[in-house]
Amino acid sequence: MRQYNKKALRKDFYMEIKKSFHRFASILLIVALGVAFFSGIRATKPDMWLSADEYYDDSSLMDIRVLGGLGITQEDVEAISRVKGVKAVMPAYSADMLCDTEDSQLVVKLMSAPDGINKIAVSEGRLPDKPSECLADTAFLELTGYRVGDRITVQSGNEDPVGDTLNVTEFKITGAGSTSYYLSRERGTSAIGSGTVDSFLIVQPEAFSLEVFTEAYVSVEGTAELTSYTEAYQDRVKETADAIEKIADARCELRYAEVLGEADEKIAEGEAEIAKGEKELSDAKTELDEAGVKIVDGRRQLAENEKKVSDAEAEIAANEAKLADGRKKIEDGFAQIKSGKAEIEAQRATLESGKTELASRKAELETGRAQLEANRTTLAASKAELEASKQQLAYLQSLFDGGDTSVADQIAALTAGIDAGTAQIAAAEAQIAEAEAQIEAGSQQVAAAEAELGAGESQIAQAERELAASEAELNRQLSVLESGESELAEGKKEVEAGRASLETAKTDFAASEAEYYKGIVEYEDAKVKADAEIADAKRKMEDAKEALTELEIPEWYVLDRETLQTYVEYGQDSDRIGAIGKVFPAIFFLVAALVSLTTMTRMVEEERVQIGTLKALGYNKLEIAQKYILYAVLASLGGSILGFVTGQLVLPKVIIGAYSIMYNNLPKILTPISLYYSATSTILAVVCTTLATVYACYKELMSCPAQLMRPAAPKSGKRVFLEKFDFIWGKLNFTQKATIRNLLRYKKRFFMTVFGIGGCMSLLVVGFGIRDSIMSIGDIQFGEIRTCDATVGLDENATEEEKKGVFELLEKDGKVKDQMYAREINMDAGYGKNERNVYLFIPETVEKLGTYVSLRERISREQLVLGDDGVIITEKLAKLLEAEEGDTIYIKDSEENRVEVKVTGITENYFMHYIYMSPALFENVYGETPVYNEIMTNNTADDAAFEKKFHKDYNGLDAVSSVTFTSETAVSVADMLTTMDTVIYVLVVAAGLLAFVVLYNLNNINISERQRELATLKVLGFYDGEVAKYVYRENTLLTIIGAALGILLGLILHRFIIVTAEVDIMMFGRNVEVMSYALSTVLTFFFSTFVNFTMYYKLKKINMIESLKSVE
Amino acid sequence: MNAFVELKDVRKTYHMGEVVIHAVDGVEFDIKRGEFVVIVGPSGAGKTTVLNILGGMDTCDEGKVLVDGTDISRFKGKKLTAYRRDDIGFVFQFYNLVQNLTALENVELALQICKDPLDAKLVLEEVGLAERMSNFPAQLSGGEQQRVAIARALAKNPKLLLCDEPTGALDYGTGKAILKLLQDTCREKGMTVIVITHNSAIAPMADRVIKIKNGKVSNMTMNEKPVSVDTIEW
Repeated sequence: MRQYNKKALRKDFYMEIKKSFHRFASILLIVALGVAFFSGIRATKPDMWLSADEYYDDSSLMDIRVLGGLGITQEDVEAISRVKGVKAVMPAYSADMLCDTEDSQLVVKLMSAPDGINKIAVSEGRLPDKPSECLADTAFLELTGYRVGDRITVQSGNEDPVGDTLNVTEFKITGAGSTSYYLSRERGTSAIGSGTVDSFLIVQPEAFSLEVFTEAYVSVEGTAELTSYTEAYQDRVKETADAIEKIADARCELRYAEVLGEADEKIAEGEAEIAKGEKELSDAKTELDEAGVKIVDGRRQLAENEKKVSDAEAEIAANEAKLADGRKKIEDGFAQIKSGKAEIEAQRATLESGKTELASRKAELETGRAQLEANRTTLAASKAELEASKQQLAYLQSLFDGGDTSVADQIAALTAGIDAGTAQIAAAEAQIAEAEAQIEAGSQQVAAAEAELGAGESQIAQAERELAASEAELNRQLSVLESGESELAEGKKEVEAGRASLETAKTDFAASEAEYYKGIVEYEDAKVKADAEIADAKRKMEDAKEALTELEIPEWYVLDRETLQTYVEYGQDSDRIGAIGKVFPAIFFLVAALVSLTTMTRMVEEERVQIGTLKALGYNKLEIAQKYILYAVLASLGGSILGFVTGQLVLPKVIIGAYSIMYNNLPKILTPISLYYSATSTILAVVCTTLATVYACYKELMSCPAQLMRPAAPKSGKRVFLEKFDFIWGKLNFTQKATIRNLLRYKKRFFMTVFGIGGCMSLLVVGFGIRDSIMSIGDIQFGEIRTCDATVGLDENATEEEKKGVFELLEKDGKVKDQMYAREINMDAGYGKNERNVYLFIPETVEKLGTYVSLRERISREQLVLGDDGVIITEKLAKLLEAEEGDTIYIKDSEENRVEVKVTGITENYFMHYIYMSPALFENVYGETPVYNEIMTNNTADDAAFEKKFHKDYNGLDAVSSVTFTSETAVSVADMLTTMDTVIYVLVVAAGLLAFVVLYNLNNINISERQRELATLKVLGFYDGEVAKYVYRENTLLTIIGAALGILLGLILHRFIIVTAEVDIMMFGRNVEVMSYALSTVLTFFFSTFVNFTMYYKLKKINMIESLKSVE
Repeated sequence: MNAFVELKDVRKTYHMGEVVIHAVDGVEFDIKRGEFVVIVGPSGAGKTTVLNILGGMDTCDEGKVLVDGTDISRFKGKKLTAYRRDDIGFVFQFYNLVQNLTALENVELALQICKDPLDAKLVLEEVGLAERMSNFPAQLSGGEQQRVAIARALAKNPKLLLCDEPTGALDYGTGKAILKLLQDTCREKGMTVIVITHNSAIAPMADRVIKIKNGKVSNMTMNEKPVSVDTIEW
């Protein structure tokens, strides 16, 4: 029977869930939401720890770091390894160096390659395996643009020569990687350069030239199993750290003795060296004197040799002249012979021509003779003719005489002819006689000429003979001369050789003489220097001796992970999230409880008759209540499971994901589902809903069955307070009146909705408010406070002239309005037990500071004046140090260099910590004038092209190490803070879900409970829209009230979150902008409207007939 | 005189799973303006369905429903709502007052949407609730609540006043008083009133009695001389 009944109840139970699934779902959903936020945000802190711990364990991050005042020796390392609890010890070197790159000067921390502890996660390439190689920080590559395979050079950042620390200064990058030692981009502070370590380099231990290790890394037994940041871990490490502290004193004394011994030795060595130096100096002097004697001797010898050579040379010259003379004479003789020969030839030629002429005369003569003969013959013929003619004439005369006159003419003619012929013959005879005389003369002449020629020939032969004789004589003389010449040539060669060797000897001597004088000068110089050095060395020796007496026993610094900057920051960030997780989800739980309460109340009310029936049948209260409790438990359990699974998987991932933009080295995000948070949130949720259910059932269960069987008296209408004010109430129409009365009638629902909507609104206000707060960093910090446009960083090694050069260049730059020297240096500042990393800022001229940085009190906006009696510190720093105006804080860059200053003002600031100090105060506390390392400028242009040009123009200068624009910093800050957008999205989604669940639930209850009322309205002829409005009016009013509450709640929550969540180096704005309220309100109303819209169809579907048939 | 309300072969079928129920199975009747009509029949006979169809709360599957010459049987959605709004006054067994509004406000609720409403206070005075106007329903007795419901229906100045078992939840005396109010309203204002009841004893007070059985009109009689409700005992 019992069995059967239970079965029936169980069936009823399942049917109930099926039938009223939306109700079941709304409890499930709100619980899921609450649990998701509760467990998700709570689990974020341990998840952050786990994610980091995984990385720490994987890379075997050191648990303890031991620094020795005088370094760590191999013996120290062995001693530490013998300490109880120490698993491994790794001695290491590290040193900060400067590295010049194209754009800037970086401070790099060189660390010896790890061996088992602090392993490097190599992301590219490999670890160095030669001393000339290095592995670079991935940040280094990002900063500089260098790539694996490039070479870099490091240099000392202080007066100590780099060789004191390093054997190698040029490294080839063989790889890139990261270390868990640095979780974020922060690399800590440094005593050199800008004061901030920019990146690390891993080099082989052999690259260091240090005598002892700088530190020892220790890993502690059993810490890998423990999670970092937990107390268990810290206790374990502390135990071992204390144990190491115990051996520290003994080790330090040993080290002290060692150093002391070494120092004594060194002093002795030093003194010996001084003595040696002095001796060397005197030796040199002696040598120099000896050389002087030699020089004088040499000079004399040289003069002698010079004379000998000159004499020989003179003799040679004389002989040469003689020979030349002889040769000339011989040559003259030859010339004469030659001319004699020529003359003979000429005479011979004349002779020959005489002969020829003679021959021709003879021939002419012969011809004459022949002609003569011929003429004689002719003449004879003519005489014969004439005789003939005379005979004829005679004949004729005879004739004529004979009378013949005819022959007269002939006789005349013949007579004339004979006259003529007789004349001619006479002439011819004369001619021949003349010719005969001529030929005779000619023959005589020829004979004379022949005789003459014969004489000439004999003369010539004589001359030839004479010439031959003198030629032979000349040739003899020539050969004598030539042998004389060759002798002279040899002699000359010898003299020349002598001269050459003399010249060499001279040059040599001159050189040695020069050397000698140089030697003297050098000696003098060296002596001055050496004397100074010796004096210096002596003084140093004295100092060293004195210092040695002052040398204290060193101390060991046994430091755990809590001294690693990023380790600590990460821990603090996780604590902040933890703090948020404590408060934030409360809103969801409150709403979840209210939703459960109203839902279950409604459910119990609906089943009033059934409860009555069951009671009448004899079921006991527990059995009846079981159904509702089980219903609630099941819904909340389902919701819890859904919630803690999604919550713990999604939320930590999103939040840590946002943080990991800052902690960019974190390789993995672990989000395990934690049993603890799952269980606690589930129990909390189930208990909340169950209690709400019990409360809802209580009244009904207490009633008697008869009462339950009757329909419940509808909750009666009541007059509300507002009705007393007729001037308001009278103006409302019935629907408005009904709305107001309804709102006040269902209190649970009212609170559920108001808190739900309020929660939604507050989440949105928080979300957008966080954005506002962050934006104020950009807007106020870079728009109103740090207003300088650019900062030109000066190289630490730059000379004053070089700096001045840059300054003057800026002065001349037309686009630079204004410029001022400043010193900005990374320091640690502390007050009491609080200490923070700060920038100490010293302007050259305090009066001009306002142009670049505005110092003002945040709330009163009162301008602050930087005096010489104290410093002005930034607001967040003051808060973190818990220092107030008038307090004396300390500033230090190392333990040894610590000064105390009074705070005279606290200034508004949102990004980084600054301490502003006047140059006079700086000089006062440090005893030296500040070395300015940057020039701040205000420019007249701010466009990208100008900035690019400005960057190029100035960064190229040797003395400039960096050019930074405030706008760049503003952008990078803004970039960093966009991570917050994720958080905003999460909040908006959560807000939307919250609003949806609550309003959906409210509408569901409203509609189901007031179905009759709504059906009545429909019957009365209300259109669907009018019916919807009737319902929506309530929703809208609730949304308005909820939103108003949400603004208040959001304001409080926002302030809380901002204060807990803000990173140390930033101060978020404290105010939420009007625009954000507006946006939140719009979104809240959008969610509300959206739900109303989805409910519209549900309203439309209400069946009048079914609803009005009877009382349910 | 033409029929003010005319139903012609009205049918309505419900499908309950595999079972088909002919709730209204060819109902036909006429009603004249100003008549006081009583529809009687046993439970489940289909009289409420007929009234719902007539009141525009439900639609018929077949047939015609003419009200003042307009066929409303094909009305849907907004038109049907408008019909309810302007032409119909409904009185239910369980009053269906809005709990959160006073008597007067409940009447005003109806008036807000009417074209030509009557004065709420006046109507409430007429139904005898002059003193209880500012009371909430929970502060009123059943009879008083039903009077408010009637006042609400009347104030709309409808063409038809439909009452579904208006006395079902009331005691005898009160029930009688309510019927009297309905009868008087009909007589004095010329309102056409249709009352559904399973109590056939009140039939004599009606001008027209329609008997419905198994989804059909089994009988329709006209009382030439309807009696006052006061004289009827049951």
